Amino acid sequence: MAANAFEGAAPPGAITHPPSSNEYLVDRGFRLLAVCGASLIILLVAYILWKIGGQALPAIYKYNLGFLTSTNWNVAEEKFGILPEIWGTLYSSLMALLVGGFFGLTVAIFLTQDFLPPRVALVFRTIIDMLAAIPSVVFGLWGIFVVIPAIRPIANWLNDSLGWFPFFGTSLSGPGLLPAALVLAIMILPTVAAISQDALHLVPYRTKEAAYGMGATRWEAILKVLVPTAAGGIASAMVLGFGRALGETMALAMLIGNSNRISLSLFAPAQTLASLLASHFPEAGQTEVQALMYAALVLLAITLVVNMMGTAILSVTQRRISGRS
Amino acid sequence: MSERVAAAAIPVGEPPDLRRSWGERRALRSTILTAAAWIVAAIASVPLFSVLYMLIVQGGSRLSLDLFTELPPAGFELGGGFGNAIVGTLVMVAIAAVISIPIGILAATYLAELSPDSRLAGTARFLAKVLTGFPSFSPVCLSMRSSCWPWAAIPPWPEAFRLPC
Repeated sequence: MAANAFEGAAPPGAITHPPSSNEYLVDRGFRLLAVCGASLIILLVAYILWKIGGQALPAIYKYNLGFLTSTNWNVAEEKFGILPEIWGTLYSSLMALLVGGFFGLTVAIFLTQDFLPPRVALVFRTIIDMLAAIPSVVFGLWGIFVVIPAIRPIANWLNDSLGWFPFFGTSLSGPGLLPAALVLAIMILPTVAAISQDALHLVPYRTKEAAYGMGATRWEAILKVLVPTAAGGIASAMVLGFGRALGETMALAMLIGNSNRISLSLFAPAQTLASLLASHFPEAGQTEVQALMYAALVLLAITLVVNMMGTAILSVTQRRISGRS
Repeated sequence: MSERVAAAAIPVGEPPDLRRSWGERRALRSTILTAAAWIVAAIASVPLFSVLYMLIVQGGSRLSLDLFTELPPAGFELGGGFGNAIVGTLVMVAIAAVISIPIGILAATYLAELSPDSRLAGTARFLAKVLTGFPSFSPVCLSMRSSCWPWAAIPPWPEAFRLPC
């Protein structure tokens, strides 16, 4: 009986026949197209790197690694350095990650751990996802019209009363690091929340049941069992959110104040790599463009490293959760 | 058999009270954290409404049908609209979609169905992720300086590719 399971089936005919050469050809062609599609992604990234690298090459030869440690951006003297920009990029992104990561993770827990009925949770999730659809420029406007006026009194009060504390060292005159970081935090919140939710969904249900069965309260189960189990996925959500924050351009160019200096104060204007490019590129001359391309290359390198870290973390945890080593 | 043993082990009489009392420290902590989570989630949804509110308050009074059909006014003139910007957006997004969606779906088919574990698929998947994180200015720089390559097609590409995955 097992010898031919299809004995009773219809004889070869209109529907059942070996694939014709035409069908083979279509299949091969489709496979080839799909391979081309996948390869195009790789080629595109390589092309971008090659193009930017090519234009940055004169600047790389000229300024070498000193470019990364110099704080001077002087077009007239053709002296360029991006240390303040690197500092501003990392500082604003880290602040954004602190705030956005906390809120994103809490929202993810809130949406996955039965705080809300499923339908309400879906509505809430849609609201959070809609945040990701707001254009960067609108966030920039929102920062100027709403965030800066809202936090200025608090910031200046903190500066008046706690001015000795390095984080509150200057007053907030308008654009500055804090409003930029807050808006960035809101922009990365949907990313962090969505990926953390996936990670929390990935935790086997019986793990949660077991925690409740041992008599844990809801938050003991969440904080001591669920979050540690999903830690890798959550960490990779943070890394991806961090990556988004690093590359964010328009909102930051509008909010960070574009000032070329290094300050620990949250209220001082600063500059990031992306906002440097956005603000200087339109009027840049030949040599400045080369320097800007070098800066772009540095930013791409930072983005690439951050993404690699995220991917590595994710693959390690997925292996650990699925039980394969 | 085992049920009998278990039954014998429990002393007869009042069953122990297994409910958690409200005043207990662990329960109290849980309640407080739950309230905090509600507050945090509420705060997280404020920006969306705040952005909508700002747009309506700042721009709502100018909302009219002309806005979507007419051209921007010349200097020092009133009226007009941004019809050209709407048409431009639609045309640009359409061109970008025509270029990127077929490639994105083909690539996604390869990554999800044809050979998900191959080296090419792994690299492409990783780079597509990197591409979403690429700062948006880098294609802009290229299109301004090097060629008329349709760079507008880049941003939605990884998105289209993410859909079927």
